[in-house]
Amino acid sequence: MGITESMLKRVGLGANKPSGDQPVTFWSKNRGWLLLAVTGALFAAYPFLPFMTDYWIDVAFFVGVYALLGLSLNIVLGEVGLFDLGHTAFYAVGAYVTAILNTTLHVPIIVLLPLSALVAAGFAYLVTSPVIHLKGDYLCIVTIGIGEIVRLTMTNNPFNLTGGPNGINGIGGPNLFGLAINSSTQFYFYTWIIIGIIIFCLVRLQHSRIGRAWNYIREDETAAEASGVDVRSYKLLAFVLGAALAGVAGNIYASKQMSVSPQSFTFIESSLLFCIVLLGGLGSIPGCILGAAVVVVFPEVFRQFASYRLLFFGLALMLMMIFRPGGIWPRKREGTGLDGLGIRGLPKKDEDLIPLGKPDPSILKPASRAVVRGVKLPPVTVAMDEGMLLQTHGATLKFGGLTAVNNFDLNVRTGKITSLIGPNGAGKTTLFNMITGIYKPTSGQIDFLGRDITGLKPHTIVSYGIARTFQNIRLFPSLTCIENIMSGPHCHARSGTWAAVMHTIAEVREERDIVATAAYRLDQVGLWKYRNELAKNLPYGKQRYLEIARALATAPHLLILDEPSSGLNDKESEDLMVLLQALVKEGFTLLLIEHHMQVVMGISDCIAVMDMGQKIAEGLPKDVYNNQRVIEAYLGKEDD
Amino acid sequence: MRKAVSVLLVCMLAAVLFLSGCAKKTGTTGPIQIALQAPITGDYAYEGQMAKQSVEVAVEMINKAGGVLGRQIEVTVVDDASTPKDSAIAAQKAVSMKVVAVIGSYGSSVTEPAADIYEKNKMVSVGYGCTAVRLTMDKQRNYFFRTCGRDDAQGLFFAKYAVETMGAKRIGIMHDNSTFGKGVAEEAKKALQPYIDAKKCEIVYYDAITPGEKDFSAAVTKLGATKPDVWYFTGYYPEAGLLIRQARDAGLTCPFIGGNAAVNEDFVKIAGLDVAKGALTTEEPLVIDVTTTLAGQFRDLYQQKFNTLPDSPWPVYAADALYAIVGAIGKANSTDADTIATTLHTNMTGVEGITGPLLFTAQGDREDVHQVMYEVAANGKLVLHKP
Repeated sequence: MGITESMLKRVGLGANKPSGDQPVTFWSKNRGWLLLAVTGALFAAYPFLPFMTDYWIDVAFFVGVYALLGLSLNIVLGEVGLFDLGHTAFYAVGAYVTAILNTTLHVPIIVLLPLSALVAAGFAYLVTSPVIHLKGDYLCIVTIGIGEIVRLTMTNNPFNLTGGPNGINGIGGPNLFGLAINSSTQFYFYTWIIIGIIIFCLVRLQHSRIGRAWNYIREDETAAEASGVDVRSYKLLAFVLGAALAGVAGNIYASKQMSVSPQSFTFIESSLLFCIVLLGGLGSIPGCILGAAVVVVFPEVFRQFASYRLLFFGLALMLMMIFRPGGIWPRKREGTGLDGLGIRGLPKKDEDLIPLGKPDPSILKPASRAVVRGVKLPPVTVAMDEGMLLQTHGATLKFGGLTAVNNFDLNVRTGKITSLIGPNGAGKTTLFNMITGIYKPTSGQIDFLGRDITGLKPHTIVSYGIARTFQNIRLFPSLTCIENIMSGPHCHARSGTWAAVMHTIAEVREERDIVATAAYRLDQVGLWKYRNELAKNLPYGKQRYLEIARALATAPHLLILDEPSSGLNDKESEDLMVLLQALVKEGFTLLLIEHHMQVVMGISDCIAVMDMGQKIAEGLPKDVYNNQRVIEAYLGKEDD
Repeated sequence: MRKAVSVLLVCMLAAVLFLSGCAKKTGTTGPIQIALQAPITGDYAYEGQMAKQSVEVAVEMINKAGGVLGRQIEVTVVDDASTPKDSAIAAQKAVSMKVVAVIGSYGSSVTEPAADIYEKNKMVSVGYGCTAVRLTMDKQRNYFFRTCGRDDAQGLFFAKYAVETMGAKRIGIMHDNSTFGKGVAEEAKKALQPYIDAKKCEIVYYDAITPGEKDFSAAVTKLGATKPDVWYFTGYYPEAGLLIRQARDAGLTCPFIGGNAAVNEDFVKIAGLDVAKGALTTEEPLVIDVTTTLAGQFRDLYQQKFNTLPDSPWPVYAADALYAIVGAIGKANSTDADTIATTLHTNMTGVEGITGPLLFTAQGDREDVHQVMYEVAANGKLVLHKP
């Protein structure tokens, strides 16, 4: 498959795989190419259409600028789901860097194009890194603040740099190796060619582990972290890349207008960008361009209605949101098949992928854990008891005055099933959250595989080899099943932004490994036929299996399952027990929280009992079953 | 249903697109097309609407008087929403409409990109509310003019008024080092030079204060020691209010004259009415205070059409921009842009607008902009100063 065609397919333009009896026609085979050619030809011909005036070419130019801004905000808002209502700040930084350096030091505009992007990106890193942990509305308020601070700073003319409310004028135009860009048509082509290049990169990024990681965060931040995604870094990366694109837009804008002033970077402008992304469809690249077209062209069309112009514009926006709530062109994930993942060199038949993903059994040997696919773990520093995989020593967690877990020693034996039971509210999940890094213990130590993992970040702990599922299932609802599981191998892959854009050999191989691993685990839990379904459309029981498969795909030593059988009927519980025993046979170590006594007694090798945050019993199932304190904890004390 | 709505939307869009494509062009007969670029929507919509109404009134006046070259005038409005981006698109729109000339716009940073586009397309544009000095001084534009004064024009008016009308001998000038404030102060100083050479007056104080400070007693004491006859402050109202209060408390009684950023309702609030009363300010006149015959006709017609009068000075300059364009077309006997521009630059003697003669410098600035001295009346409102 050609590069372009596979890209088109990924944005939803390409032909679907001819299934079964559907005949392969010239049209179905080359649909992607034809559409691309027609779009390209339309764009190239636009300025030369009869009756075309500079006015409409300029309108198309501004559609380009706003499309670029929309794409840049789409990374932050659409891909990662961070509410950024101050995106104009980065646009302003790009424009002002261009204006200041061009008018004072006479740096050529074309040199300032990457420089504006860099400065805007650096600025974004500086201002967002202290606030990136904020969620939802809180981050939204902070970004509004950032936008306003930048605009006010420009207005206040610090060090006589920004020219105050009147801004800076006399900015030159770009000069491409002797070809000066100054007419409307030249600017039109200049801008749209840049956008074309950026879209090419963005589509590749969207379909790499980076794009997927962003989507995991958008869908469920906690689950993303628990699957090994470094949430903080990926959020920062999104802001930095988004700001860089906004910086490029600022540079283009400044050189076209030949002047900049704070009036161009108001809060309204930020909300307009928000509007573009929502109108087009979150995370959709063609959607952004259409959204920009609507936002720029509509007010132009209504220009002759003078004061009613914005009224019509608002009305049109409302109608669109009513009739297409998901956006004009939402990104479609289901229905594109595995081709939609944009991974090169997959086998012709999807099924052939499954055996490719069969893991090398040696990765489950503790000794080989030191390096999993190039990820180095720190050297062994802690001596653990013989045969133990995980041990907590005096693990304690206090929430204010409440001690949720008190001085708990948990021992998990390699290759066995350990169960943690106890009445509701005993602190079992809290202990799990300490082991997996969601909570930091108040005191105590947690050792795993000879390393002290106390207080490490969840995504780091995942890469050490502890995976988990959640009591209330946490999937990535709007992603397909295969994409859900592809989050597992994420933490063992290394390819960065550059590799994803360039499709380096290592990156392509890594991607293939990721999808193959996912395919193998999906098949293992019996969900292969649902691979292209959205996770939220699966029935409840199957969602449990999907979550287990996702955890398995991280190649863990220890699999922590929080009430895996809750919500399952007896038949399903039995199936689950069969699966869990098969996993132990494969070499995994299991730690369960479970209320279903049939499951607990049936498969556990060792049981620890917790009540009021303390360990009250530990041992073989039959011993625990008859332990007086355990019975008391569950049933209450008999009256004397 | 959905399909029907989408089809309907597309049809509507197509219809509107078609309609907007049918721009009226100026031929050799029929009405002369002129565009008004103004903020009809957005932050300064109020100003834009008044400019539109003022130009409508001027069109009616001109057409009633027979138009120009025997043809009528027709004005189309293009909205720039008071943002630089919309301004650039609006300017392209006006260019694509192939109008003879453009009136516009309000706001300097909005006018800047539009003026560049008009310049590139060799189209005459006459600004009416853009007062930044750099619009005409930073680069030479051959097709850009303005009927409003530059930010620093009031400095000139102050000099003339203080010496000739008020008879001041010892003059104190205070600014705040901002681009605007310093510009006005410098201009005043420059305009006073001929009087100083003629030994009619002297500048006894020329210094800056720091904006944002609260205690100006040092500056006020220093100023008071020079015993000035008038005191001109060219900065903004927050400092102006505090300055006059502290000066009066210190016993300094000479007349206070503020620039047009210094005296407004907030100035009166900060200073207190007892102190603010009698403070003077150099400003562009409201149309109600303009004494030309055209102004009288303009007021009558405006009142008749809209039952009110513009309460800002700028819309009248928009009407004057039309008078300037029409006057130039008449004098040049042509609608060719180059000829109009040359006429505007060199040959406008005898062309009168609502605010007086419409003459332009080589940079396109209006010569001798009509300004007036306002005084804070006992009720805190501004009234014309009667010396």
